[in-house]
Amino acid sequence: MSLLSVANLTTIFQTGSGEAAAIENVSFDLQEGEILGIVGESGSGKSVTALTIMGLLPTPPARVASGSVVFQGQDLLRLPEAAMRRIRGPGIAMVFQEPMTSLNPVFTIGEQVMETIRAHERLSQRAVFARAVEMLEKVGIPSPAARMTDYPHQLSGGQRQRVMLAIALACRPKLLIADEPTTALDVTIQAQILDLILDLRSEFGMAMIVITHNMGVIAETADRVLVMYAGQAIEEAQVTDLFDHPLHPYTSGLLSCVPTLDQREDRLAAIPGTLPEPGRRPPGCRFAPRCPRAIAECRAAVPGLIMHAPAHTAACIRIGA
Amino acid sequence: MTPLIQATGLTKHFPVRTGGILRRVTTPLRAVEAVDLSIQPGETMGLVGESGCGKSTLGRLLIRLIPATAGQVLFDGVDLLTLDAAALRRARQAMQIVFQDPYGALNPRMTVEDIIAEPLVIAGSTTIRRRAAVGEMLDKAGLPANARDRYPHEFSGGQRQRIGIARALITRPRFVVCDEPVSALDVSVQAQIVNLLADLRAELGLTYLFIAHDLAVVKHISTRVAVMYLGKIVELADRDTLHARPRHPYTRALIASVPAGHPSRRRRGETRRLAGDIPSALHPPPGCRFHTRCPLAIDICRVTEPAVTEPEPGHLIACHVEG
Repeated sequence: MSLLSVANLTTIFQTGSGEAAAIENVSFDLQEGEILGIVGESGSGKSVTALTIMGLLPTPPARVASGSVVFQGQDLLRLPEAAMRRIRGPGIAMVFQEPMTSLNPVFTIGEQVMETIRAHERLSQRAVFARAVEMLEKVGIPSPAARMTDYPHQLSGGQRQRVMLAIALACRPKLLIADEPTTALDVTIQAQILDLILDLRSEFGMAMIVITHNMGVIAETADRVLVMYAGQAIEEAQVTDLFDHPLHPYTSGLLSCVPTLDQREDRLAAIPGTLPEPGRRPPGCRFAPRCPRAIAECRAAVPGLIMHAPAHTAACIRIGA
Repeated sequence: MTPLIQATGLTKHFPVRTGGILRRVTTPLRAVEAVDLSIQPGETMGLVGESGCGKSTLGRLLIRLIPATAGQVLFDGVDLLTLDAAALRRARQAMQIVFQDPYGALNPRMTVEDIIAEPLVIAGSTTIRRRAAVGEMLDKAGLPANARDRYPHEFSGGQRQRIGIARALITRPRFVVCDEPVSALDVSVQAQIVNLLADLRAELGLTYLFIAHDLAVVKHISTRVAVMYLGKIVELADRDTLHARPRHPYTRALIASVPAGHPSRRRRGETRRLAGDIPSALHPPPGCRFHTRCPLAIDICRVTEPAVTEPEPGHLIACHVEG
């Protein structure tokens, strides 16, 4: 059985000009210990997917219109808030992009790590302190006992992200969702944090969902990849298959428009046009207006995800045509 | 060939007030420290480094958008730092800048036409000439002709960056500072803007300083690349040499930190990666500023600042060990 099974998830936002679906019919499975990468650009719905799973979207304006999120056999969407609180932390934990704004500036980092431990476990004050120091040490904070009394502003961006990881992992979650964990960081610090995340994953044996817009982060971390575009999942494959044989024109466009250090072309293969805004998504395939292979039929109906090779699905009617 | 831009000993200190209310002291934040840099006509000089290394400040100093604390900038032989206001305004037509944030850099209350034409208003051009010039720039920047009467909020990030580029190029400058022009854009749009900048360089004979933190983008567009660390240029070479045979340990670490382009080349746990964070520019380390994070540091690095050497023609490096 899968650790997490998301099926037909649709989340709708109430906006000034009516309702708009942030994500539509998103489905995927996650096995124990696996790292799923979710890649997409702004407005693709990757963060909304994560926040819907965590039950962290404010209602209203958000509303889960359909679908299920089955984690260890129970549907999280049907759990009362009190039960959901017991899932967050020991079950599923999350780290966010902005380590600056995700930490409370008026509490010490020690207090913030200990708060999480206290919320979920009955331990003596001394044991809570010891566990917090241990967590800070595991995430590579130098002289952790002395740092317990530091405030977030005294730490660098990379150190803050390490503290976020310590908080997220303090209750030994089965699943860690990392939403753009390295986007705000410099490249040398990004490399340190990615190394750390993968080390911690091996040590704690947890499953992960890594959400990013950066194909390099996917290449470095993911076992399997889900590609999202304008609120829909459009391709899913093992990471090597996706990089070697991308099926959807958007995926191959995304892979070839990003310059890498080892390529030699003098001109980048740009994808024309811009991403559709949630209220102005085109009918049919949402990528059709930017797609070099689009035909009239593409604009008629939304293509479904179809399996084209073992464990490799894509939503495009032009594959093989 | 005479360089288009020649900076010597260029330095910028920002005064920063630190300390408690009763013990307030002003400490200089050493953003750019004694930088020498020359840029040849027609080339694209890439400038890379982590946040806070001074790369944007250096870009602004080169076109005197901010005053330098010390040093000299020659623009086509003319000393920019000694020009009076009127002469500087004339010189400015030949030097422009494209900013990182296409949302913050455009006035939301001005039409696209007014935004793009503003540099010409300052230059004192006639209304008729301005209308024609805007039309031509819209076309060159890949914007529809009907964009002129619309406002910035009606455009996506990529299109706004095209507006910023049209504004920078309307005075027909010779030198353009591109300050992280694609890092705020979605990846599928970045390539369009990089290609546009490359096309316009060829068409209009431009010279660029291309500032970015993304090494792959810089490698793609540049002819030469300078690497900056804590206010200093630590290595400079043509782009292929810099990536194939980087000499400075910081450059090597930067390259090793770039995520792989393919899952088969994962770089997890590579030893050349850097430990620690970039130190504060308020209190830069003595000696070589990189020694606190350098895997090769020896005693002299902690005491004496390394001079710039040229171990092979065109390859500059400031390092005691590898220089």
